[in-house]
Amino acid sequence: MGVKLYREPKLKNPVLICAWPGIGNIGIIAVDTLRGMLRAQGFGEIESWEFFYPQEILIKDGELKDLKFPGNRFYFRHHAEGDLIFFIGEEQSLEFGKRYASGKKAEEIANLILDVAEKFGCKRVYTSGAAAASIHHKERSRVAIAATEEELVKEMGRYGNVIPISEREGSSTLVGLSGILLGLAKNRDLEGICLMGEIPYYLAGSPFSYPKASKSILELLTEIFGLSIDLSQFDEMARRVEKEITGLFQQLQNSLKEAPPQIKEGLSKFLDYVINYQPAPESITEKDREEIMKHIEEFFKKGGKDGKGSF
Amino acid sequence: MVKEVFRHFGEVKFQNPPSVIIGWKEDVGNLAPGVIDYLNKKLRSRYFCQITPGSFFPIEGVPVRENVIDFPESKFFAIEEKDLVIFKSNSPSRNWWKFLNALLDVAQHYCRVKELYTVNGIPSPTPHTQTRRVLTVANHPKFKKEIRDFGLLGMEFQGEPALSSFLL
Repeated sequence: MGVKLYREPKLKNPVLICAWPGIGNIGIIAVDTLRGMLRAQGFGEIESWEFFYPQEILIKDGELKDLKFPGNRFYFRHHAEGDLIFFIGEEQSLEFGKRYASGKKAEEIANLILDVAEKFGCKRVYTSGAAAASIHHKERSRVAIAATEEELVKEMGRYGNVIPISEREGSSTLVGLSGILLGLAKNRDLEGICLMGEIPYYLAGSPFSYPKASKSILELLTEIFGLSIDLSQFDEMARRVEKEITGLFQQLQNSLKEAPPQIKEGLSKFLDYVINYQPAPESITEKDREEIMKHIEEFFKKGGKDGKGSF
Repeated sequence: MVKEVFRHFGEVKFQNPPSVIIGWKEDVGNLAPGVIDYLNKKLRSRYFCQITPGSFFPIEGVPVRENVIDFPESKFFAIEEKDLVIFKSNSPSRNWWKFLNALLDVAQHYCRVKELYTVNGIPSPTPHTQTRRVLTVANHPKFKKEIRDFGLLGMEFQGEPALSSFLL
């Protein structure tokens, strides 16, 4: 039982980045996209049959040919500023009827992931997921942060579009493997940070993927690791999902015409907000502010030289 | 005791059989964590083993307080040159018997300890301006005499046992 490594790459100061399915599949879309774009190579897996139920069976001519379990795979990518290890779990529920991993099995699988991380010298672990928030789906998602130490929260605060989770809600709970893995990492004196893309409360239970939040996580990861990656594909996906969401709520609004008045009254305000809300222009980030100040300084310097435009 | 209950991070070697000091994170007046953290810092202890949480704590959601995750921990630290082991832990919410035996297994069979001390706070009808007394309970008449020789007081109590009493 445990981990199967196909190869043992030599890695330099690696960090581990993990993702599983969850609300809006925000974390897994972000991390798996990064893994794919960096062409990270597979080097091992967790033997899934100990933890998961089979997803698919293949029977041919009365013979059982294959039984597929959810993949739980490790990938690596060399990187100048420290190598990257990715762990992608295709499923996180370990028990029927439960959406998130919990209990002894969750602890076991999380410990196996950390065993691999430590074997290759990882000192830091990132997990990813979603944070339901009072935002509108036409607004930009921020990335909420929780960590194993206060210093790490401060470190993350230096990046743009990041918000410590307590600024949104005083205390909160990380459910599933994203939280459990960080808890166990903390017990091993490893640094751990959870990156949670914001999703509107009214979509947190929906079957939609939410690429807008995935993009925010990806932007943060690329900033942290100094990667240059084209994320424009997410804008198109986000536009499509935004249109679908608005369309769905418009359908609901249309169907309300036949509804009893007490239901109509209760829902129409909410639907009007979801469908017709126009977000305010985005406030500038610290990075934007620095850029603007730089331009202003250049403008004045230039003005001083040729005598035009100076005060 | 099943192996999966422990996780070791390194060997420890003592000159003589060590003593263990035990403190629970949930304690009256936050006394035990204060004492344990102070000792760990001053004596520069080394973390070498943990009791894994799965059998003793609910592993559901992980609470986040002020942006920092709060996860149950049960950690052993060693100060080898002082022949001392320190154990800091959340109080287990289930399987007390198994948990305490796990603790004793590490202490007795892995560290070969000669004695263990638990540290706890206790509410007392005394003004907060008064010098604090240290009350003691021993699980053997021989130890009772030893600690009395340090000028420490014994105590009388009848009621619900705490985790430390169970351990003793």
